[in-house]
Amino acid sequence: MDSSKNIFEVNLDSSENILEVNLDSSENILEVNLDSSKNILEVNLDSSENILEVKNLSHVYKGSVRGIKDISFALKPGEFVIVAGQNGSGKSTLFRHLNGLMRPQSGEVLIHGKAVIKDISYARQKVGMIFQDADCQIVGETVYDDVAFGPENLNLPRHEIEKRVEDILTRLNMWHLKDQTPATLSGGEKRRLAIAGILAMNPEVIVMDEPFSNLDYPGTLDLLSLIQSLHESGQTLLIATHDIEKVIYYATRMIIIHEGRLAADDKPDKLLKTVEKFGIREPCASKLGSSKAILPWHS
Amino acid sequence: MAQLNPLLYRFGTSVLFNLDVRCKVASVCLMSIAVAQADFTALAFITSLLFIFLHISGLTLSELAHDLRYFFVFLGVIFIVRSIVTPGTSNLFTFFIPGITVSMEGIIDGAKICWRFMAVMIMGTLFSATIRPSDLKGAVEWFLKPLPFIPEKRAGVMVSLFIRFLPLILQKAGEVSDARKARCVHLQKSPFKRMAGVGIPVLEKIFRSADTLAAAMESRCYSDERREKPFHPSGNEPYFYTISIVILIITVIY
Repeated sequence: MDSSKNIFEVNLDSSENILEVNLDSSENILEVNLDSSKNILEVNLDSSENILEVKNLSHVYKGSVRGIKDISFALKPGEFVIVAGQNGSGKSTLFRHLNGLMRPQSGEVLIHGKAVIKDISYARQKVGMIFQDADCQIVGETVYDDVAFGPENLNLPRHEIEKRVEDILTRLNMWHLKDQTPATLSGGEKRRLAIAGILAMNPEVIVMDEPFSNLDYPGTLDLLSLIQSLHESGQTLLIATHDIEKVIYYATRMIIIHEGRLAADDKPDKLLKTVEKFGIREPCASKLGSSKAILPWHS
Repeated sequence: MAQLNPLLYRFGTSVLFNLDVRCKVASVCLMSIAVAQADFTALAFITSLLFIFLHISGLTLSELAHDLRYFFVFLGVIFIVRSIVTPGTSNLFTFFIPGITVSMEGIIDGAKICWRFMAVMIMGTLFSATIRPSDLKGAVEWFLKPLPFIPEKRAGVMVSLFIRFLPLILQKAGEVSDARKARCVHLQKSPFKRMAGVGIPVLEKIFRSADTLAAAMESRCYSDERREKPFHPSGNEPYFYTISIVILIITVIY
């Protein structure tokens, strides 16, 4: 059922005996998951407001035409959004506004209705940011110290910090690396560590700026599986990339930024054929006319 | 994977790594004063002690020598200058320019000063390789807290960031140097142009990295009011205090 405002989706995956029902109106999300193998019925009705809202955001650098102009969009819990655009389109500038690293020249960013610039600590706790260069983001002398850095800044009790670090490192399969110096880690492990450092702060939204840059094939696969598991666990994700092929299969929505403006905002499959006019490479499967236009990057 | 340099902290479990950071700071201060006063016998004793600690901490002399190779040039210059300018009774030889004479006293004085510098460098390397900058921040705050009018938290951040950036500076300098070698910098004859060619890009890279690091720290809610790590005395601290004080007394008296 797809009326102008309501979307009703039913997916029955007989191979795994999983029934999923999603009702997505403009404000309400109903999820019903029936897993007969475990005899579990889960019903989630989420009528909560947007986690993050960007309203008419503009920021142009002095002496340059580059920046972002009049960008507006909102993010709901559990969404996986790709922010695509060619280099210099304004993706990083947009992301730096989401947790108050940059201040808007006009417009505003709201987190749960609260303006970022009015409570920057709240914004930084709710929106975790992974930078393009993992080397410069890692501040701890060991893997353990780096993950503990965020919770220590939040002034949590010591036992809570230790618990969070252990939980996150175990979840990300990095506990055996806890005493390693970050400089000795591989590119994929560094990126994983950067994500662990953010997860330890319990953010509601994770923002990743070009997470696949400088990663080799195993590193990319490693990161992809982590992103996939984060999404499956209900984490809201916002990923900036100029290479959409790697993540488009998992994304629920795609926003295209072109010359600082929001050029398109829709489901990924609906935008696939238009991306090249914005300087973004169309995924191979779509280009070669596969019957399934969106395929996973690695099968 | 980056190559580790000796100034970079590495995880370890030996005696120096487990020592309470306040004891490490105090011992380094006392030993530095002792080194500044030491003659050859005391220097030999202190250097032997430092070599033992280097070995225990997993640092090798060869990697230390490699990373301090430019420092040896600096020591060489100091040695030559001290040999020439120190007046002495037993002149070994005189240069063509009248008045420039190398004396035995000058050579001894130059060697002693260079040795002292070397001992301080080894001590500094041991210090930075076995101490976490975040722990050092706590120690600096602890020492400065009783002093009035000093913002101890700010001072702690400054010291810890400086220690954190030392290895980064060496790493960036290495990268720029390699990039220049790959583009035949050896054909450039002027040493000043060669130095400027390395220095300016290194500074630019360091400032850019510092900027990114600051943004990353900010985005993870960094502030002065954060939960610091508690100090963990290992039980060996009294021995280190005793050794440092005894060495200091002996070098000052004799």
